[in-house]
This record gives sequence, structure tokens and C-alpha cells, in this order.
Amino acid sequence: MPRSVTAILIAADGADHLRDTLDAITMQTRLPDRLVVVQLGNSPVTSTIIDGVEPTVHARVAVRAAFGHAAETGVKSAGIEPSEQEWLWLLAGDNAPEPSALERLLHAVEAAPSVAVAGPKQMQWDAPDYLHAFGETMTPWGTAVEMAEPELDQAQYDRHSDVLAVAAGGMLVRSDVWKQLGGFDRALPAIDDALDFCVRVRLAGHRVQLVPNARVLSAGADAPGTRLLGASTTEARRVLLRREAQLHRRLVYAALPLVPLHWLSILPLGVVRAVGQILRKAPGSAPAELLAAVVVFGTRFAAIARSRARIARDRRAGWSSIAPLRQTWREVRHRRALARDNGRPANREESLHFFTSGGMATVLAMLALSAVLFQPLVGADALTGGQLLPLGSFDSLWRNVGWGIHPLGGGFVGPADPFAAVLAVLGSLTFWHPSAAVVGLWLLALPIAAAGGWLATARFTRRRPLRVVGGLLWAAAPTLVVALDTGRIGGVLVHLAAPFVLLAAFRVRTSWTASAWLGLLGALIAACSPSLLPLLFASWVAAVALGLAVRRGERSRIVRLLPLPLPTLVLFLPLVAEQATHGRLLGVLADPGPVAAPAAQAHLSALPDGVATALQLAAGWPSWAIDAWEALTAPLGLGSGAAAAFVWALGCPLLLLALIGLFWAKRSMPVRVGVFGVGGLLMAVLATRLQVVSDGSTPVAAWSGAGLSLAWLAALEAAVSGLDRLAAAARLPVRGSGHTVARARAGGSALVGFTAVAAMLAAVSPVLIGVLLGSTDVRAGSTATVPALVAAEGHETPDLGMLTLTPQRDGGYRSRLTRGEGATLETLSTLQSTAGFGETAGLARLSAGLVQPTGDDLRASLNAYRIGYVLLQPGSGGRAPAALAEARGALGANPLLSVVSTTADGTLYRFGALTTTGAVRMLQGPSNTGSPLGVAVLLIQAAVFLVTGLLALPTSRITERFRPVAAVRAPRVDVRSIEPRVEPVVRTPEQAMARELQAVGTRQPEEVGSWR
Amino acid sequence: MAVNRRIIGATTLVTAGVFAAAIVGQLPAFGVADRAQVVTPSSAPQSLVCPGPAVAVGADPSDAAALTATGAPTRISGTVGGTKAKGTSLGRGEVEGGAAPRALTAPAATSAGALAAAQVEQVTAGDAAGLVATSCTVPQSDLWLAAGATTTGRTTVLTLANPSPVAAQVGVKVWSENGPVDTASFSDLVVPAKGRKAVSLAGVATSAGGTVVRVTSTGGRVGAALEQRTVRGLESGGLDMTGPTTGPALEQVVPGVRVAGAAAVAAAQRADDYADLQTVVRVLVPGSEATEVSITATSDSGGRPVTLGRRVAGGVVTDFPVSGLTDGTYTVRVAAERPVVTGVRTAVVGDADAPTTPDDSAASDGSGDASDAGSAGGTDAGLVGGDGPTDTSTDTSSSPSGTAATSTARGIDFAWFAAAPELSDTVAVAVVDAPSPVLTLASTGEKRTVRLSGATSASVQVPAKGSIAVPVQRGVVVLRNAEGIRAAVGYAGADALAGYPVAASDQQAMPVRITR
Repeated sequence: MPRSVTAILIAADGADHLRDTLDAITMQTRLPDRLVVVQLGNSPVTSTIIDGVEPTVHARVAVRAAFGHAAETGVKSAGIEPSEQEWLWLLAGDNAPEPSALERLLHAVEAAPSVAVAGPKQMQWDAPDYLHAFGETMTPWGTAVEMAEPELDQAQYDRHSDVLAVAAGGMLVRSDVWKQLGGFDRALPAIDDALDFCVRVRLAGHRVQLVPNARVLSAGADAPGTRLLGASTTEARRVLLRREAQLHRRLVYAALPLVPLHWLSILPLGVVRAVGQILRKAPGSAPAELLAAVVVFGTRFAAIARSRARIARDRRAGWSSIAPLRQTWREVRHRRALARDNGRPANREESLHFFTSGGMATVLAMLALSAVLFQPLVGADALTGGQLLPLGSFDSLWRNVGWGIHPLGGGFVGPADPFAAVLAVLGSLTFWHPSAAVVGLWLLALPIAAAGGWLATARFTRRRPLRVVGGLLWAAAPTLVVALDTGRIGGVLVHLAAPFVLLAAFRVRTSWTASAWLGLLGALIAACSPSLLPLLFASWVAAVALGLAVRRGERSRIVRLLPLPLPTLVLFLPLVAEQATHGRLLGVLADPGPVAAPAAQAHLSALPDGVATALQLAAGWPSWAIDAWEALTAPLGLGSGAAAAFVWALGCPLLLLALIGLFWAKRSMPVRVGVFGVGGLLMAVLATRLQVVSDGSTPVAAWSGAGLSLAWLAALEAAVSGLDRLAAAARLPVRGSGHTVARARAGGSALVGFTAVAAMLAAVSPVLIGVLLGSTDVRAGSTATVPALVAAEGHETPDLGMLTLTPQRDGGYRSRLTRGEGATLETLSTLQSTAGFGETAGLARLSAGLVQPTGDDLRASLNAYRIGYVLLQPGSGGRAPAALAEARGALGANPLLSVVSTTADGTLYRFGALTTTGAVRMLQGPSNTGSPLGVAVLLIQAAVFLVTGLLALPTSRITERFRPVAAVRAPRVDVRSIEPRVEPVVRTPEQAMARELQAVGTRQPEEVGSWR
Repeated sequence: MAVNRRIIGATTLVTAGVFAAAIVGQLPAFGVADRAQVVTPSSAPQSLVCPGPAVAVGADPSDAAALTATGAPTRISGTVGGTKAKGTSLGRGEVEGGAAPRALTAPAATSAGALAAAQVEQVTAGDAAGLVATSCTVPQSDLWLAAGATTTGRTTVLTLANPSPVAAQVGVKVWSENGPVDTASFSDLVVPAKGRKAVSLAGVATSAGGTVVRVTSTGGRVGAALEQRTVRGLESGGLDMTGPTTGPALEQVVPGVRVAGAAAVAAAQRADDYADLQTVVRVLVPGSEATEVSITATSDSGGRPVTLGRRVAGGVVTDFPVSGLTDGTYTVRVAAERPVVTGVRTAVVGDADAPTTPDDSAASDGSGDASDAGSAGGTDAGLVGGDGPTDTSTDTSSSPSGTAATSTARGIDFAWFAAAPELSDTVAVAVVDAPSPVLTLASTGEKRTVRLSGATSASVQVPAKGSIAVPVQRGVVVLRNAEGIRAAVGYAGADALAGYPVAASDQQAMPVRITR
């Protein structure tokens, strides 16, 4: 009895493929008896194309319909009577068959009556010689696997015939089996629908066969497919569909007693898989994994029950019957090994030879130097002085992040400074004694800076001496030296982070690891020096805008730029919201940490203020290291102005080299980095104008060193480029020839380099040796910052308050309340220093009542604020002496207070009638985990930093080992990779860089190597 | 081409950078917010301390260093609001006999009005006799006294009274005409809580023709007074007790300087050892640098001012003789390039035949005041209130009269007048029971109409940069609209001379700027 074939073509709106496919069907050597075209939607163009071939039936279904549903509609609308002789040939719009495809398929099924489903070989649309798919199977755990790799078809897979499943496109299926099994499972709308159907066919006692000599084409990921899965479907959506299908099948295929176990494992596995997606640098797929888990976990009960019931109804053979058709573990491992080898980038990261070409030597030399220069700090309990305070306990560090009570002044509930998070992480490095981490930071600052400078410079020159110069000059930057001198942790951290920002920025377009690092470093810099926020934001906007403008249509490059501000955002958002509601948005830009008015500065003689500041900053000095220099130049009889001019002049050779580097550049890189550097300089100048905090009645400008670090980086790299050009021009090294000209040139350029480096080192040396001489602000101290007597008592009762009053120039008083052993860095808040949080009227009134005779009940106030001691510090200038005398008289005459001691630091009074029982009421409030808002803030911050941190891990090995899906599915990449690509020989970092920055036509594979 | 573009890029970058930095550098500072809280705590209860009776050194022949007192001063006190001040006696300290110093307290000025008090004592016992009228002062932790001498026959006693419940550690510095005096033994005097301490300046500054004293205290605040006695041979040269003068300032005003019996003084001072009858202006520049000082003495009744200009060495007490002053009330102004401390001394030489003045005036005024207080509303329409019952208390015994012992043959007395501070709007003035009390109001700026009520009711026009003298009655006088005015009360009889400035402070708590 002759077989009758109904071809069912499911056509979405994809005119290109459809026309070819219809043509191919009409050119079959064995024409189908009926052609049913099921159109998804009703686009007139597609309708016209379809009607052009005059199909037997032209059916229409909703545009959102799934493939299986459309096929079912086609079967019904054709009015086919199911029988063993009636066959259905399912084709998608891109499955153009070869002329003999149907004939050969029919041959195959004629030869084997037990075959109910036959599948052709799917070839790639763009390259018909290459396989797309040829049979599907499952691993023992049920993961769907393609049996064939997308390779050149050399009949290497043709020995397969009996398989577990075939793809839907080109599937020839007996109509009665189709009818009996109810077609594709609707619960699998896009992926694994054919696999599931074939499994059910097998379980119903039929066979599924591959027909190697029948071929249809497939456009793969570019196929119009359906609305659910087509060319426009994103990668994340594919992951979602794939995982949903897999979980659904798992719950359907599992033995009933195991279903609850599988069901319970869905969510934990989802989390693990999401982390896995992040680790393999596909952060976009992580939410898809979680979503798939949640969807299947919560909403699929009915669908699973239906699918299980259907299998139970139609099953004729046991599950064991399909077991031999699954992929064995051995095969799975073999395939993964092959995938790893294919996926490994052919050209590995070229080494910068950090260890062999002077980098390590520079770092070790700086370490030795640091050990000598900072010898007095070795083994210190804590560092104090300048902007430094000790850190509190590990517990206190983490209690002061997020959003909660701040026991400052009268206490307030609000967000912590982002800097508190930095301190928490830093202090946790030495969790048994957090202050030691700061000591360590001071001791290691120079070597770390040298390493960073070396690595960054290695991007600009391949000459080893110049890389060493870069490392030295970065460690000897005035910003770093002054920051170390004045105790600015934030300034030091910004300086140490800056070169790594540059390194990560080079890679950010192609590497998620670099993107994550850039995001983290950006957050670090913003937290340490919020005054750089405008620059960071502007740079991000510019990068995104440039990316959009220059590389139109290449979304993937912008994708890695877009989430850069996220870590910074989640750190700052609570603070920004709090400041905005109090109308003090500028306060966000305030430097964290203690506020102390800087000492009076020397000026370049007789210049206007603004010009002098700009000149000083342009030379790289956040503040003149004048004290140190004056001490040295005193015998010469130079004034402070002359000393400043001298220091300025010492920086000139470097500036000159930077100009050479800019104007005589071989590449545009120095200029590009220079833009960033000028931005940094502007921020530095702006910082000197930004006075959002004040020390008593003296407004204090923001720290300009952070911006200068960035400017210095640009200047340094420009100077190195300039030196590189000079050296190149001099043809260094001179090989064997005795040309005096060449030698003179070589000597000249070497001299210029030496002069610049030596001058800069000389300029900073008086400051560097300051710690050794004891002339710096920073010194080794104890963890207590209050007088020893108070510290001893405060150690026992941490709530014990000490009020410090300092007369001000304007006749007023600065009033600061500290508790326990004194203020620690992490407890401070810019909300207090900029917006007066915690500065209650009661506290001010208490202070005002202490400095003059009053009728107020001071005893009650002192007890309410739990103030046991009052320290009256001397003030200077203006009306401060009179105010001091006034306050001293009032405090002395106050019968509640008695003088305990008088030192250079001030007079300490004790309040004897302090009732020490109970907690301080006004300092009670929700801790950072004590309120829903606090928990939410912490959770969001933790989540963002966890994800970014995982992304930032250099996980090339892990990634290769745990690719959950075979890496070689996308045929386009593989096709091109087979063609020999002309790769430039990469020898130097700048060539590598230049290559990266070229507009490469192909989508580059994700870099999973180290972020460097 | 590419190279050119790069150079253009670099040029643009450098120029833009330089310009932008220059422009941003010129920006004014922004984001500055005054976070200061200006707070005024509630005022403390008002407190005054009256130094107590005049103290004599070596009156007991057996102990030349013993400090004794016999008298008991009479006090007048009261507040603007009419509240009665509460008085407590302080410890007598090392002084034998006499009345104890008194501490006066009244509720905070806001509810009671400013408190004022003064004491008077007509000393007749001992080797020197004279009128002593002193205001009770606000306890302070830093005060200056410009008076005193320790040459032969002159003794100067510094009385420190501490009304607070906390002991005071007091440091005393003394300057003389030879410069700063080594006062190591005075550097840490302890005045016990609620007690008094009196020391003779002869202990540290011997044979000093003129002294200026600075008292600083830590712990309790103290009131201080400097008492000078003069005995020339067997003749009493008078005595006076003077309170604090204003601290170092570029301009000092000493109102209410009484000059009486100028002709007799001029005649008497020609004799040996009588040179210090001369009217002098004492000036000290506390630093070490010399400065130009100009002194103007203007009579309150008009007339040509007497002007002196001189260069004064730093740290040296200089007495400028001012001659040619006729009888009357004067305001002495001292202007200098550097802050100076000032006091003025005048003397009177009485007529042995003339009747002593205090008795008659005391008798008449005392009764008048008592009735005045009751019928204040009738005397000055619209100026009711403010003048309350005055506390004319007398200690133990009334001032001993008629026990004149020495040598008041001629009845010589002198007085030190201290510089007066600027007053606030409403102040109280205590006028004690002494001969011909005169209130002098001096302006350093605009002319101003000051209204007087209480013991004396009047409306007084103070000329711009001038002064006016108003005879007043015993009791408490309330000055209104006295902002910026300086005032003093002076007393002069035929053989009596005294005076004190009107204290500025109403002891209200001041607004204080508290920053972080």
C-alpha cells in the first residue's frame, strides 16, 4: 500500500529562509502528497510567499504559538486519517530539504516497519557542508545532548542509526503514532520538545532512526523559529527555556518516589547553577537559572502531572529499554574534554615577565626601603595622628556598615559611609586586631604602589628600565607620600588602586572579569574619595556614549560597561537618599574620616591664591611638603616661598617629559589617558573649592590628592611614553657601533630620564624620611585616642563619654563627644560632619552651659549624655584665648567638675556624680541588622558585591571544567575558526592592546583568563 | 596625518586642561554651610561679692605682718526688678576681727533684673582714716586692679573673696614702676571655698611707688579689691579700697573722677612726702612694647579738656600727673596704640575746722530713701517698677563713729577710680550712704538719653563723646537705655573721697557658637 506523506511546514515571519525552503520542497524527487503550511501570525508578505506555492492547506495560528501546537494545528486542518500508511513530515521555515531528502527518509522507514520516527541530517544553512545536528540523546542524568558536533560532514557520524531522538526539523513521523501520543508536549514549548516526543515514541515501543543520507538545512540560532525561540531570542532566554525544559523532563521522567526529592533540589541547584554561570563569566544567564528554578518549583505541578499521566498511559516498554541509547558517562567526559580543548583560546595571555624583567626586583627593593623608612611603625598597635584613628574591633567594623544606629553625639539612625565598608574589609584582613591592617597597609604601600606602577607602565613600554622607572615614580608620587605623611587611608588606597583601574579599563570591553574588577575598584575609589564621584560618573557616561557611537550595533561591548557603577551605586544610594532628603546632596562628596583643619600652607611667593593652588596641584602636590623642606633649606636662608618654588622646579623635568610623550606620541594612548588625567587634575582643583565640612568654625576643603593620583598616573605614563620615544630615537641600546652621535643621543636621553627620576625622588625624600625623623603627623600610637585615665575607665565602660571643647577663632567652641577609648575610624559618619546628624540641641546647650555660668541642670545633662570627662583644649588665633579663659574659669568654678590633669593637650575635668548604671538611652536604636530597611540594605549590598566578586575571580580553570552546556553549539563561530585567520604576531603588550582595540568583526569569545 | 591629529589632540588637551584648571581655580569655595548652633543656656543665679571691711597690716604691734580689721561696712543692694538679694557671710580667712565679706545672690537676671550692690565704710579707727566706698563685683577668673603703692607709709592689701563652693587657685601678677615684679610666692594662692584671703603686696613688691595687679583664678571665681592706706609720719594720709578696673583695651574711660579741694591739695603736696596727693592717671601697657598714650580729662560741667600725650614703656607702671584741674567731676579717657590698663587717683585735703560730712548726709538721705522706695510710682510717671526695696543692711554694729584716734588734723583722703566698662541697656546702680554722691555718665559714641528711676528719677541727656554728672540719692538707681554708656559713682566730702565704676554685667548667659 503506498505511503502518503503530508509535509507540515511551520512558517514564521522569515521571508528569506521560507522562500528557499518552499522552493526546496517543490523540488523534491518524491513530492509530499499534501503540503500544509501553518503560518504563525498573518504577515501579508509571508502569506504571499506561501500562497505562491499553492499549498494544500494554508492554516494560520497565533503568532505566539509553539512549534508543537502549530504542527498539531497543521495535522488537524489537513484532515488526515491517522494510519500506519500516513506519514507526517515536520519542517520549520528554515529546514530546506535536499531534493532527495523525503525519498530517502521514506526508503528508510519502508525498510524498517518498527520505525515510527525518522530524522534527517541537519546541515548548517550558511555552510551546507557542515553538520548542524544529527540526533539527540540524554546523559544518564537527563541533560539533553547533541550527538554530533557541528563539524565538517565527513560521514563520521553516519554509523549512528538507532538513536534516542531526532530534531523536530525534518522529522518524519507516522501519523497514528503522532495521534496516539498526542504530538509534542505543550509543557515543552520550544526546547526538548522533539527529544521528549521521541522518548515517548521509544517508550511506546517504536523505534527512532537517523537517516544519514537525507539532509535538511537548519539556520540554527539564526532560524526564525517561533516567537518563543527564534533569532531574536536572547542568550539568557535560551538558558531559561533550556533549564525549564530540563527540569520539567527530570520531574516527568523520574520514578514517582524520587519526584519530591528532585523537586526539593530544584532551588538549591538553581542557586549553584547561577553561581556557576557567574563563574563562567555569563552573568546575564544567572538570573535565568534562578527564574527557571522558581518557575518549575512553583508553577508546574499540573503540567508535570499531565505529562506523567500521558507517559503512563502510552508506555509499552520499560525505561530500561532506552537506557542503552543514553550517552554513557565515559562518552560525556570525553565530549567535555573535547569541548574544553576547543573552547580554550588558542592564544593565551602573553606574560609581562613581571618576575624576570625587573618588576619583582623593584617591588622587593621598595619593600626593603619601606621597612627602613617606616621602621618606627613596625609592630605598632595602631597608627594615629593626622587623619588617622585606630580601627575598632572586628565586631564594631561590621556593625558600622549598612544602615543602623550611629552612637555619635546624641546618636542617630542612618546609612553608614561607604568608606566604612572599605574599612570593614581592610580590618578583616587582620580580624584579631583590625588596626594592624592599617599598619600593614602603611608598610606595604610603597611596594604595592611600585608593583602597580610597573604593571601599568608595562602597557606603555617594553623597555625594562622604563617599566622600573614607572614603578619607582608611582611609589614616589607626591600624593602617596603626602597621604602617608598625613594619615589618609583613603588617599593611599586610591593611589594604590589607580594603576589597576587603568589595567582593567584596557580589558573591560572584552572581559567580564575586567569589568567586575573595574566596578569593584571604582567603588573602592568612590568610597575612599567621594569627591571623585563626578569624574567617575562622567567617565562612565563618556565610555558608554563612545561605545554606542563608535561601535554601533555591537551591543555586547557596551554590556560590560553598563553594570560598572552598580557596586558604587548600592554603596552610595542609602547615603545619597539620606542627604537628598535633608537637602545637602553635596555632603555626599565629603571625605570620610575625621575632620581636621590643615596647617597653614606656604605659598609660591606673591601669587594669587587660585593660581598658586593650581600650580601646586599641577606639580602633583596635594599640599606642599614645606615643613620637611624648610627644615632642610633653613641653613640656606630660603623663605618658605622659595622652598615651594624649589620643590615645584624639581617636578618640571617630569612634566617636560610628559609633554614630549603627549606631543611626540607614537600612539594615541597617552592622549587618551591624558584626558582622564586632566579630569583628575580638575577634580583636584575642584576639591580645594569644595568645603562641605568644617573643623569647628574653619571650613575644610576636600582632599585633592585623589584626583591628583589620577592626574599623576596620566602624567607618569605620558612621561614614560616620552622617554620611550627618546630612547627609540637614540636607538638604544647601541649595538657594537662606535657612532659617537648615537652614543651622545643615548647618553642624552638616559640623562634626561635620570634627571627627571632623581629630581622627583629628591623632591619627595624629605617627606619620606619624615616617619623616621618623627616629623610626620602619622606615628605609632595606641588604640586609645583619649587621655590614658579616660581610656582606662572607657575600656571598662565603653559608653563613657568625654566631651572635648576647643575654643575657636570666632570666640565659639568646637564640641566633640567621644565614647569609650575614643573615636575609631569606622564609627565616624559624614552625615555628622556635613549635615550635623547627632549634633543635638541638648548637646550644644550642654557645651554652652559648661563654658559659662548657667542655671541649667548640668548634672542631669551630663548624666543623660553619660559624659564622665570634659577636656578643654587650647585654641589659637582670634578670640580663642579669651574664650579659653572664659571656659577655663567656668569649668573650674563648676562644683560638679574637678580638675584631673593639665597637659599640653588640655585640661581634663572629671564629672564625679556620673551614675554609671544602665545603657545610654539616646544611643539605643536598631543595629544594621535590626530593622527591615537595614537588612534590606545589607542584603542588596552583599548580593551585588558577591556577584561582582565572583565575576572578578580569575577562574579560567574552573570555567573550563564546569561548562554546563557544550560550548560548540554555535556553528558560526566554529565555521570561521576553521578558516585560517591571519593573526598578527603578538610580542609586546602594546601590540596586544592595539589588537584589542581594533574593531574586530567577529564577536570575540569571552575571556576567562586573569583579568590582567 | 595621524600624527597631526595626535598633535592637535595633545594641544587641545593641554590647553583645555590649563584653561579649565585656571578657571576652576578661580571658583569661590562652595558647599560651605555654617553648621554652628548658637545656644544660650539659661542664666545662672546672679552673684556678687562684697570685699568686706578695710584690712590693716601690722595694726597689732606684736605682729607686724598680722592682718586685722575692725569695721563693718554698710551695704546697699537691689535689683532692677525689685527682688531682694540674698546675702551670706564668707569666711574671714586670716584677717582678725571685723565683719566678714558677704556674697550676694539673686535669681537669674531675666526674672529678677540685674543685681547691684556697693558697700561703704568710714574708717576712723587705726592709723589711717578715710572714706571707703567700693562696689560689690561679679566674681571673675581674670581681673585687673590699677591702684596701690608700697613705699614707706603706704601699705597695699589685696583682698580676694571666693563666694563659690569650689576653692580657687589664684595667681597674682604685679607690675610696678620698675617693670613686672617677681611674684613667685603669689603664683598659687588658694582661696578656700566661701572664704577670703588677704595678702599684703609688700610681701612681693617692696617700695613700689605704683602697682598694677592682675588676678587670675582657676577653680572658683573670685572678687578682688585692692586697699591702700597712706600714713605720713603720724598723719593719716587716708585710705581707699578699689575694685577691678577693665581689662587691657585700646580705649579706657574713667568716669566720675572727683576733684575736691584742689587748691588745698596743691598747697599741701608741696611738702615732702606729700607728692602723692597729686592727681595722677596710672597707665600700664601689659606687653613689653612701648606705645603712645594720650590722656584727656574732661570736666563733666564743660570747660576745656586737659590733654596729655606721652610714650609709655611696656610693662612699666607709669603715673601721669594731671595738674590744673579745678574742683569738679571729670571723665578721664585714655587712648593708646596697644591695650592698656588704667586707674586714676585724686586726693582731698580737708580743713580741720570743717565739720565732718558723712554724718549729716547719712542722716538725711537714709530716711529719704526708705520713703522713696515706697512711693516710687508717684515721683516719675511711666517709670514705675525697676526700683525695689533696697537692702540697707548693716552688720553687727553700726559704723563706729566718734572714735577718731589719729591725727585727722587736716583730714586727708584719697581715692582710686577704676575704668568703667560699657553698660548694657538696663542696669542697676547702688549708691551708698556717703557725701554728695554723683553719678557720671560718659558716652564714647552717639548722644543718648538715659532714664534714671528708683532712688533718683531723672532723664539725662548724655552728649556724644561727652559726659554728664548727675547728683543722686542713696539707694538703688536704675538706668535704662544705657547701652554703650560708661558710668561711675563718685563721692566727695571735705575730707572724704571715694568712687567706683558701675559694673556692666547683668550676668545673663551669653549666646555661644557651638560647632563640631
